[in-house]
Amino acid sequence: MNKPNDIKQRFLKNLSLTSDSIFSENKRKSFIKKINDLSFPDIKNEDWRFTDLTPLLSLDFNIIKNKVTSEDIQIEKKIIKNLDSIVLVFINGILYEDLSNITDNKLFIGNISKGKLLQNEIINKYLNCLPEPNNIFALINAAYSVDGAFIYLPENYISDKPIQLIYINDSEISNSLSQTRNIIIAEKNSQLKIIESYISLSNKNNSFTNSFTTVFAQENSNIEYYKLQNENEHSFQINNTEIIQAKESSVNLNTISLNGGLIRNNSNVLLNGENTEIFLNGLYIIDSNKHIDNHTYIDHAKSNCSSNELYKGILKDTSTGVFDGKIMVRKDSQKTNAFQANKNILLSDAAKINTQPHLEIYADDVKCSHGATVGQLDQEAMFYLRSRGIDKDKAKSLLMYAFISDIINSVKIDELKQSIKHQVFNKLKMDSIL
Amino acid sequence: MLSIKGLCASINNKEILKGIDLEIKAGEIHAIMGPNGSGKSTLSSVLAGREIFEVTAGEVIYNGKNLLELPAEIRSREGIFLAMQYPVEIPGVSIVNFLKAAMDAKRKHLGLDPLSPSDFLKLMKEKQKVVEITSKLTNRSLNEGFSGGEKKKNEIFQMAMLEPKLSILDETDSGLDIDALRVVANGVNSLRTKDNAFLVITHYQRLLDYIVPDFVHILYDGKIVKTGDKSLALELEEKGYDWIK
Ligand SMILES: Nc1ncnc2c1ncn2[C@@H]1O[C@H](COP(=O)(O)OP(=O)(O)OP(=O)(O)O)[C@@H](O)[C@H]1O
Ligand SMILES: [Mg+2]
Repeated sequence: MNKPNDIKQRFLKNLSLTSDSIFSENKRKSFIKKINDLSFPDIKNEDWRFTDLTPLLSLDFNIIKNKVTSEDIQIEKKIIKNLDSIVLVFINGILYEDLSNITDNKLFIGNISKGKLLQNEIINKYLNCLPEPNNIFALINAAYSVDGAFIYLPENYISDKPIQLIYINDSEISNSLSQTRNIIIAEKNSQLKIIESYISLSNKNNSFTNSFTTVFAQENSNIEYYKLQNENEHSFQINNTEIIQAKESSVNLNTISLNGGLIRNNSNVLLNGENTEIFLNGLYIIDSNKHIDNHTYIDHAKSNCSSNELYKGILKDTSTGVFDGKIMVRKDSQKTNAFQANKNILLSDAAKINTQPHLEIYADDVKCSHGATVGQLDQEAMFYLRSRGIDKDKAKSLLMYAFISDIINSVKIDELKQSIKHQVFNKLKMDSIL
Repeated sequence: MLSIKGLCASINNKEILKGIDLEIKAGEIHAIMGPNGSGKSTLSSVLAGREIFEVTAGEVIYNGKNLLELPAEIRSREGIFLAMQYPVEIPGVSIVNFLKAAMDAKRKHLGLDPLSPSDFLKLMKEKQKVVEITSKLTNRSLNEGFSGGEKKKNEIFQMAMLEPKLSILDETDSGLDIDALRVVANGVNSLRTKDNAFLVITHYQRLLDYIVPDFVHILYDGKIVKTGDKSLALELEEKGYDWIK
């Protein structure tokens, strides 16, 4: 038996403190001290009951800094077709400026070390507001991350071009690790669209993404945020997103998981001003023995806010899924509207989903609803389609697509919607008549 | 065209069809009437290939083939169409895509190339006129939020598109207003040829003023207890079902 400490030592042995970091060396040393006192969560941990990290923790990882050229990685195939956008490319957690396309000079975009140089007072103001990392993976990211996106929208700035963040894992030479630490700031009255894509470059070895993103949505800002997870079966991903919203801001976070060996998304939202709204949409389609875990936490810290959460999933073969949705309504958060739904279709007897709402409501004037469904494809609908000459497989695909179409249709960037459709069709083995 | 002999069918071991005999020839219109729960929809479902019903005895020969051996989608491609009593709502599947998939499947089965998108849309337009429905409706998701009457019209629209040999209309007239009833009836009549046949299930003689049947059958407790011409429907309208019990 491996002792928890041995596991930790092996897992972390290739990591070291470097000079590039958003956190001061002292801070990072304090994170490392905390890491030493903690152990990795196992399934006895309430937060990880249905997600077993043993396969991940038996590996060790390197940060690989080998040279890649755009021909090697064929970046044009990885960005969304026909979409006029700003592109940042990260490989194994490091920004490659020569592969990127940063054309807008009115907003600040780049990596964090640059951000530190360029926007000193501003970045310090926000760095001081970053919540303390409160679990071992957040701490590892905080201590050892060397790069990440830094996006800053000044007041009143409306960014019409979406920003694409492409995160590539290249594990050709050895197991690879990506640990980006991203900070996204939308100042008062600004508007931003972000698309993140997570991609594997090699089928050799394993990759692990341990990313952490903090989003500050300031007063009356509007952010559309899309995450597309489409890595290979050898990948592990823990994706932490924390969103802090000031009054009258509106954020739309869409998490679309189409492939990956093990994915854990922690999406935490703090509604920290009145009249804010958050939309969380999720879609997952997984097969073989893969695992998807979506943990969401919405903190209604102020009154008159609304949260709207819809996660839909299709699970095939022996795949497993988790949805855990926590909604906290604080004592003075009157006139809160909170809606949560998780809907699943299981296509085999062996596929499994654990779905769990947690509501903690301390205010009394609150509208709150939640619901979860787990089912199979509707047999009446299957018969209807077949009675018109459509064969079983095609009917299944049509119904699966129908089940998730509302999530896809809520994507507001048309080129992105087409790209997601295309990937979903491939996944569901459909031709393109839709 | 269709020959049903001694057909028995059950669901959850409960026998519903208790020996049906029925012959339908090309060019004919047959009407089936009968009280609620007598097995009319069960008969149409069994003919269309719904697997939840178990056929326990009898045979059905359709154009020389043993119909009961064919899965639902093959029956459809071979020309059987069921306009359902309760069409299912399928949000997210557009009528256009659904019908294109259905047409392509049928044409492939018959050894034909798929229609080009423009020919397909032209055909849609043409058939929409026949059943007097607008693109507003056909651009929506399949039956989602359709009114009762719109669902029924949509069934007839699909029938018009697929040009079946044997059409089974299960209470297509229920819930239709007078105008819609006329539209549905016109649809049926305009599709009628000497090569196809209709089996029309209804509770009301009114429909049969528009679609004039060659035969009227009364289904009672899983059996056809009486067969006559269109005057039988009038007689039923007057006397109800008590006298046949
Ligand atoms: N899925 C089912 N499960 C159990 N019983 C069923 C099912 N479908 C039909 N039945 C039963 O079979 C019998 C015949 O039903 P069917 O729908 O064929 O009647 P019907 O003649 O079409 O009636 P209606 O005029 O009301 O449409 C009824 O007693 C009904 O309850
Ligand atoms: Mg019926």
